Amino acid sequence: MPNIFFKIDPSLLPILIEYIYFVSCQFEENLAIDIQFPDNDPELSESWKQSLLADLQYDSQNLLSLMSDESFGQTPVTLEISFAEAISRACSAIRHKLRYDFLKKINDNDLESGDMDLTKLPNDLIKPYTCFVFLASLQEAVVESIEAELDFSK
Amino acid sequence: MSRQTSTKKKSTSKTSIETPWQVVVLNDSVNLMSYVTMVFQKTLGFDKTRATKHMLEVHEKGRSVVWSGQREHAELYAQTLQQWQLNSFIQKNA
Repeated sequence: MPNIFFKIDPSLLPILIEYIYFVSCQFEENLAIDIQFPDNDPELSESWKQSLLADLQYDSQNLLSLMSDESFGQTPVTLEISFAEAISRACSAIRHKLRYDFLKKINDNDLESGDMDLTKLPNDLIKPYTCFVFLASLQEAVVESIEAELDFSK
Repeated sequence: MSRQTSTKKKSTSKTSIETPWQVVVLNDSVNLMSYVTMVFQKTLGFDKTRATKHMLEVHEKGRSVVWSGQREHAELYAQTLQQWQLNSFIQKNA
């Protein structure tokens, strides 16, 4: 089973959880990415969207439960594979929302580098950017673990 | 099921047999390359080499056709990739 270890300053966790929770609430009605539905059939499109929303809500709830665990960021965590996959999807979804709802002013190259100087960012961008980078790191760790399981199972 | 839907389903089925459909994945500025590679392995059954090839195609060319076949299967793959937050859609094979 995927095993990840994440060390995080406990004082940062409430800030991260705050943003993740805020974004997750939007998944009640809104998807994280723009979707092209396969048809011009409104009923099919709505059914398609609702199915994706249900998955999105499930994934983001799993991420919140992981991060709300008091041992998160302090001790290694062993994740059941499907839970790890949900975490990785949630990280992607929330990063998309952070990118397009909070971090529009930052260009793609700077965001992709992941090493912007926080002291040079406007105040209103510091927390969402920190959350964006944190989720990338968490996702990398989870993906590495999932890939190790994929290689092991061959 | 209404007659209109039934007719539509028949024509969709006929079309899907005659015309293969492609599943296309578009690039985005958020998803990590390692994540996209893993998603291709998990959802499409690609080995690491093939998954990496398609990931690089998405990254460098902006898009990659990752599957081709019947419409119903194409829709399923596209939706599965969307569940994983990849910008994916289906189109008729040219």
